[in-house]
Amino acid sequence: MTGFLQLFLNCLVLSANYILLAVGLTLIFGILRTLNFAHGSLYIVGAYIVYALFKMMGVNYFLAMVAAIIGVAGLGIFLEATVLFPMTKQKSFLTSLNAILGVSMVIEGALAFIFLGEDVTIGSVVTGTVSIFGATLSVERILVVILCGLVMLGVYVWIQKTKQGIAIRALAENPRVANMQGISTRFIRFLVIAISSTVAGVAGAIITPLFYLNPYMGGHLVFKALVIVAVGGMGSVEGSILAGLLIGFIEGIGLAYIGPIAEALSFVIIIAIFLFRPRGLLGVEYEFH
Amino acid sequence: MFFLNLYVLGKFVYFFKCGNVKINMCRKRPRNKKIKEGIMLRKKFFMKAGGVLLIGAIILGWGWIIEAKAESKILKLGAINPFTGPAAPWGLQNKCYMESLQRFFNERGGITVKGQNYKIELIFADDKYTVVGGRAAGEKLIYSDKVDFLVNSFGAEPISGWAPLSVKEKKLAVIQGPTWVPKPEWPYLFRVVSSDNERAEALCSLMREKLGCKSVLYIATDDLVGKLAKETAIKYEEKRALEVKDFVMVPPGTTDFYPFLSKALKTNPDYLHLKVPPGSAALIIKQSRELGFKGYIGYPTSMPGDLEKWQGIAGVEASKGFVAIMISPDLYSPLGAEVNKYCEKDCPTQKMTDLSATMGTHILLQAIEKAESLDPDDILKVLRTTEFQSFQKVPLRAGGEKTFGIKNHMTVSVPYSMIVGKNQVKYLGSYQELTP
Repeated sequence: MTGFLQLFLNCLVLSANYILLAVGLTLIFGILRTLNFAHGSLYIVGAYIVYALFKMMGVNYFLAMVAAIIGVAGLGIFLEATVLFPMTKQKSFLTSLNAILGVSMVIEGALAFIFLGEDVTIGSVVTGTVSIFGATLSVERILVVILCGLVMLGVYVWIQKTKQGIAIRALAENPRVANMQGISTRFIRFLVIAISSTVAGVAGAIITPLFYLNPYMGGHLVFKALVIVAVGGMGSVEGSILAGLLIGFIEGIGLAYIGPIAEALSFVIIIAIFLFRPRGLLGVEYEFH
Repeated sequence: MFFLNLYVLGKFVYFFKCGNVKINMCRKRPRNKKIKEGIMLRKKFFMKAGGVLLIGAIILGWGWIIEAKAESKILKLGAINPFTGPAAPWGLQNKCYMESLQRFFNERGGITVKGQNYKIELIFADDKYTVVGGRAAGEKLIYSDKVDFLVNSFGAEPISGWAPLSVKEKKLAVIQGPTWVPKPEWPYLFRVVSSDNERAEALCSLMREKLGCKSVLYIATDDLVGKLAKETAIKYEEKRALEVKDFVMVPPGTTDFYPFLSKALKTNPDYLHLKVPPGSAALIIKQSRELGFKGYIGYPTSMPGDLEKWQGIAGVEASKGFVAIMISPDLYSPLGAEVNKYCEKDCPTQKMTDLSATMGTHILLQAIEKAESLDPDDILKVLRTTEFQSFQKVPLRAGGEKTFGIKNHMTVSVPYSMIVGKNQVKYLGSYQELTP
């Protein structure tokens, strides 16, 4: 029983990390119809802002987190204005893909130049462990799961219940009709990228104390997030949450009992999902920009 | 000197061509016979003087050419290290120490080969700790930078990337990768470091004899380095005399070790034997302590020099009881102590780095001087047959013919220390002391 509970909690934490990354990416894809490969870099930038302010300058952790959120949101808006929106006018999908990959590399290079390539951390903000029916979990991890849940709930409620959320869904469904109703595409694009970047910044800020940072982690993370977005259904927030849980649990159980081959196993399951449901678990039809 | 000669010659020409002199050769010849004779005499005098000056200029110029030849040449050493990626902490500390070493030797005049003095120039390339990165770095150093030798590289994967180039281009490389194994098909790769097995044997002996451990759990990255470490652990299990609870192979880039640790730690090992990059080691320490593990954790690898930064990841309390290869000035020879002072001054944050990482380069420089040649075959012959002074008190000799099939290995003693506090370590023993 204890073993099963420990495994369940481990998988929940793994899933929470994945979901936080994937939701921002799926929001961008749902509205902007763009695969934002720089999303992982935004996550890392958020983490480094917290590191620079909290660890290097001694600023309060929560203030550093707020600064990271604002900073990453600003960076996301800047990317939208200078790279993502201009690329929508290009006919070829590959052009925008190359541009976004280039942005990702520039961000990585800039971070490596400023902070060097070595591993750093902000250290544990809260310490201690909690025992739940014999299973052990650190307080940090519990906070990650709770914050992840709150962020997901916040994003979901905002999308479903607010005017801006309705506008976003309308634009995602049919941009032309939405425009005719007076919904500004440009404004909604900026809003979506700001929210998505904010989620990435929050993810970077809250996950940073658990692990270490280096400028090149973004690529591996965005790849994972893309897989989750694809499995959940491109543009579906609920799908990303479901896929994040599914992949987190498959990996957690697989790594504990099978070993490194569990990653390959998770891809076999993903392929099987696509064979039976090409649009993903809760996906809709889409086209790339 | 050359310009002085030019000046002298120029003056001579100026004299001859109606320069600022008392006798003006350009004036019309006077009719008077005596004056004519006088002028002839002066002409002869000046011609003789000019001849002497010319000969003098040639001699002085020749001296300048000889002097120019005697000025220092540059000996280019290419260092392939990871400056990005999981092994960046090792690469960055190596770079700092190697630059210190370069400064140390150049300030003492460099090296001399057959009367020709050479100053050392280090050129670095980032291998990203991957096979592809190693290959790219090797190509850059050999073909673009045209280095004379390769030094200081480590990591079985990057080395296997550039090693074929060293054979193809006959570039002698003195490396310090403990997991990579010398092979007869790579004759120009000479290793100066204790091997993975030697380090692991010393660590297991320390855990067994000094800390009372009876069982071990191995955790390694699922890459070439980790797989070689696992093979060695299985091969020498009996010799290490510890009950092996399990081998846990983790995918490269893993940051969440809870899925592995929560199952593996149930076997109750006395100590965890890690073969992972330093950042991963810190996370394993942190997470294993969170899961309630109270035993020792051993790391048969050099610690990143900046212990404080590393402890920031692992946690100061969690890292107590962690045993790894860390500095021990007691092992250094007088030369080693002197070099260490240079390194401490240039790399103040890398306090825990052991000089063993730089010893290969020192051995190579000695071998070049002894061989009196830059030919890799001549130097290799010297490396295989000569005893060398090192930064440690114990001299070094090549071996490895029985184990690897080629005598391209020199064992360096490594010091094991335990973390006892924030930036504080306690020396426990060296490879030689632990494996008599």
